[in-house]
Amino acid sequence: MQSQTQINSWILWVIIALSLVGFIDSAFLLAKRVSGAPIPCFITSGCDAVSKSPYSVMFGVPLSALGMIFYLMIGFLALLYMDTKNLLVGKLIFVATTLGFLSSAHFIYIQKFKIGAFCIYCILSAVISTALFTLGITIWRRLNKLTV
Amino acid sequence: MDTQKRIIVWVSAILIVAIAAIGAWQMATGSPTTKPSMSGKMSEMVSESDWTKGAKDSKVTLVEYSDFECPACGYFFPIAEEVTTKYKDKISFTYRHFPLIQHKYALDAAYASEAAGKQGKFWEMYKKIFESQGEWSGISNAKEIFEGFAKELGLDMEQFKKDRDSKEARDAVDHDKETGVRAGVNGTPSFYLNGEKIQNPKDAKEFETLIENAIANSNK
Repeated sequence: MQSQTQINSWILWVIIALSLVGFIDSAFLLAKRVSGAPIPCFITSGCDAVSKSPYSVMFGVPLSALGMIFYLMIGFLALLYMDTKNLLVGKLIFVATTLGFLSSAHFIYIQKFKIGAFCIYCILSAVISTALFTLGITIWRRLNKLTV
Repeated sequence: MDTQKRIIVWVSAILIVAIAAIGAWQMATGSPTTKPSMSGKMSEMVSESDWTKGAKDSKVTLVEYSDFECPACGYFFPIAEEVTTKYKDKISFTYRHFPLIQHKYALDAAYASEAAGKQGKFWEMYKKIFESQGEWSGISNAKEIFEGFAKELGLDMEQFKKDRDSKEARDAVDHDKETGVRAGVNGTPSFYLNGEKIQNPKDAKEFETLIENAIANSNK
């Protein structure tokens, strides 16, 4: 039981911080969507072409809303792990971050090849989920070492 | 963790999430209201070479850097039309090109508007291009669609095509964009009210507040 505390708490704090940024990012996109205020087009990245495209909705739910739930869940899991040190929770963090990373990779693909434009807030989200994924791997490896 | 600490941690987590959500909402929808944003003065004042409508020799100038294919610009088109029509006796409105590379037909649209302008129909073309943005953006025959507009406007087609493909049109668009780059325009649409960059208003009402403030200030 004691050995399970060995995931450095800084990793968990970074995860929590990143998921908070991701949460704000998604919430921002959702709020823009709901309020109808358009996001300007930027020189280097795309614009509303992405966040207003048909690809921005999955099963009738805006992806930004799913993003909010996703980041909320990751933050919740990290905090829960800190609280309970439950091995299963640690593994769930890995599973969730993998899922997030794969989704982000898929969204980048859609932006590049289907829409032909990028959305800066979506890229920020992809960067965050990639960072979360690497931390998820770190956790996974530590947990595996611990359980061997 | 003991129970008390636990409660504190979880309650603060919920609070932080709530604050973050409210903060994001405010950032996204909050009113930029009256204050022009701190960054950005226009690099070049409105001149004869610009496409300007509204009040002549107006003390209050509104300049938009825009891209015909940018959806946000399309969104702002009716808003800008509404407010500039309402205040047409008090302010002038200038359109400057800022075509972005990610938009395939933004340049063609800009050249078409320049060519129409040569025959005195810049604003008419501007209107047609924006009103039909959803129909031509991303479509390979956009150029032909613009030609169709020119026909509808009763332009001399030969002249239109010549002007559209001319170096003069290219230079005019490049010049607009270059003045934007110098001013630090990093996206479209970017509005400058009396030479000062403003944060994009959310709707016509907010835009009117900004304009009315500028008019009030100019009368001081």
